[in-house]
Amino acid sequence: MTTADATDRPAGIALGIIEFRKDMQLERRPLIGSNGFYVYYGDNAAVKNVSFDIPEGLVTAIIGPSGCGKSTFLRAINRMNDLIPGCRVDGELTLDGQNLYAPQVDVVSLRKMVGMVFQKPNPFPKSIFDNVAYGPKIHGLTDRRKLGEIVEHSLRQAALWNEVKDRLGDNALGLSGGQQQRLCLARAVAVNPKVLLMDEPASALDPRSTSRIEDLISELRGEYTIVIVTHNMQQAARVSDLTAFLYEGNLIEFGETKQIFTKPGEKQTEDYITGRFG
Amino acid sequence: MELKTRRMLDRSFTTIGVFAIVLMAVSLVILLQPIVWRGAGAFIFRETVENRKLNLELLGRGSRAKVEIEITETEAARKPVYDMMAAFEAEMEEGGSAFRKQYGREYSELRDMLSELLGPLPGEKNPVLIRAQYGRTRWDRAQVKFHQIRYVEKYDYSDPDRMGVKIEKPRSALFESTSIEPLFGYLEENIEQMMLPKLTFYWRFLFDRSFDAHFFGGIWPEVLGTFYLALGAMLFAVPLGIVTAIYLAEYAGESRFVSLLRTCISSLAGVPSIVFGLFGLAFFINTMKISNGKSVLAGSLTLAFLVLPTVIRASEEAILAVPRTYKEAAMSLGAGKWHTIISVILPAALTGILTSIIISLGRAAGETAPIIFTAAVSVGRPLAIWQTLSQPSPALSWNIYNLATEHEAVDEIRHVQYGMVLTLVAMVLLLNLTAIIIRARISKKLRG
Repeated sequence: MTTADATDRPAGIALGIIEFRKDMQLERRPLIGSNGFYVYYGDNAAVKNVSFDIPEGLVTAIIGPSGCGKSTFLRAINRMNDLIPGCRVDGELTLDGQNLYAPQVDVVSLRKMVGMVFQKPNPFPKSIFDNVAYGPKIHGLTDRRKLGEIVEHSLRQAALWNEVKDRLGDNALGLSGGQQQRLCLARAVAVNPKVLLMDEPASALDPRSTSRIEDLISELRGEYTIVIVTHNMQQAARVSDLTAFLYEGNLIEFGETKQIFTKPGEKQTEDYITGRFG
Repeated sequence: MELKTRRMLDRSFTTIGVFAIVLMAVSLVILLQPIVWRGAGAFIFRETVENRKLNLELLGRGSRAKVEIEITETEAARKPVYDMMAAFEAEMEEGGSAFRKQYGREYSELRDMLSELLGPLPGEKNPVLIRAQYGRTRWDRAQVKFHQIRYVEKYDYSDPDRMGVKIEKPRSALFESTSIEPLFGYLEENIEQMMLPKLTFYWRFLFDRSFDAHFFGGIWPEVLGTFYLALGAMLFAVPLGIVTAIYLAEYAGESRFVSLLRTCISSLAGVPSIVFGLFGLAFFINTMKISNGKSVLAGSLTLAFLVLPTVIRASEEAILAVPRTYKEAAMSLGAGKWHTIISVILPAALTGILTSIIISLGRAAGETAPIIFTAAVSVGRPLAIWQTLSQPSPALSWNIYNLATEHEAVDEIRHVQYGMVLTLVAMVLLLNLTAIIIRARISKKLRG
């Protein structure tokens, strides 16, 4: 884990002083593609005609004011919206070139490829070990030794191993909020997904835990394609390579984070990131 | 509102609440006190030599040598009584019709009561019923009988404005200046030597079958019957109830039909239990013919229908109370719906489901009306498990009622009735206690 202090980080959103990633490679191939994509709740469109490509291996942030459809769009990627009665989609959303909403798509194997970390830490009321092993187990792995390896590897990836290695049998609900969220991250990476969706993963955490989660995102970058929804613009600026700005269901602007935060192309984007509304 | 008014309101609510709780506690004590006190009388009581004799002869319990010594002892103490009676009988024989007319009826009453107190008198044929083969086996019943021997009970109806007033007159006055008059004095002094009362702890009350319609012995068939009925009911109600609850909570969705279904289930919980009993008779026995007449199986099924609505509603509530986030987490990891339910939702809802099961178990154990027509008989042997499919059984709840209303000598066996009540209450309390402990354990495990 990098021990970047909070002081190393940009203090504010004042344009120009944010240090962006130097190693941006935008020539990566697109992994998730949306083309004229709509999501409806009943008769209301929550996401309207959204078209943009999320490249492989980078961190893409989706920002926007409350109710702009950013979470809805995120949940469309692993089809969690299916759980909501009256929700339907239109247009095209693809993963690796395959339409996610085609009738022959197996939701179970899709969700295996697309992991998710939720806004509030939601570990199962089981032991720490069982939480992380849950995914591999339901996908048919029974070998205790292999499970142990996966659990250790995942917990290491989530930078939680050193804190919990002596009490893997303890109930996960006994961990602190930040630890629980990292456990959820470990649980998500344990099934070895391609994509990690994060729905405001740090909004329920204290600043210290938040910075640890952000460090983790930076570390996982490259290994996973990460899509993060956040309310916190400093966070988007700190962790993401690309940023999409959604407003009232429409995609207003999508581009390199550096460019969005320094020279936004649209007036609305500028107003939002400078705090004039939102 | 003024601060003062608010404070007063708060205080008065507290007072009323505390008062209500105290009232309930007091009534609970008043209710439980006779149950515990008199129920304990079935287990701990002073037995007479007759009880030891009965135990030895009927069940082969106790030391033969010791009991025989005691019998010899008591026979010696009783001999003067029998001698006096024989002498008086001879006197009557000689005394002519006037003498017989004066004492005949009184003497035969006395003789009958002595026979009830001490067992068959010398020269009597051995009676058929066990209860007549022995004297009073319990010292408390012996004392009641002895009191009846000493005093004649009469009612004075001379004052038309009052109910009959009970008057007790010494019976010895009836036999004044006859040869049997000293009998009363002798009894008074030697009753204990004649009966040898001794404190005993009859723990086998729970595990003995009854003899001679609960005059002697214990309540094992009833305990076992209750156990079978309650457990059998759970065997049917729990799987059915949980599956229904899962369907309603996770699969059914919200349609007209489903809300109608929910209403029906709720109303079913309010149907009087006697109606379930009649339904069980009509459906399981008369229509389905699952058994030739009453059987434990039919009773269990009827009880299962009685508790099913409770199990369904409580389990559904428990399932719906599981945080949606658990479900989302499992789904996001690629778990299918069924897998999510089995591995995440049911374990998290287990506490609530378990509570509903235990409450239902207690209810099934205590219900009387549903088994009247379907399972219960007043006297029976303990059943083996395969016999429950075809045979009826006595059960605590029904037999408490039955003893109180149908038994020919209910005053003699009150202790059995109270013993049954205590056992039933203890069983139900024990079940609830187990439930509380298990619940606490599981929710502690879930909370971490």
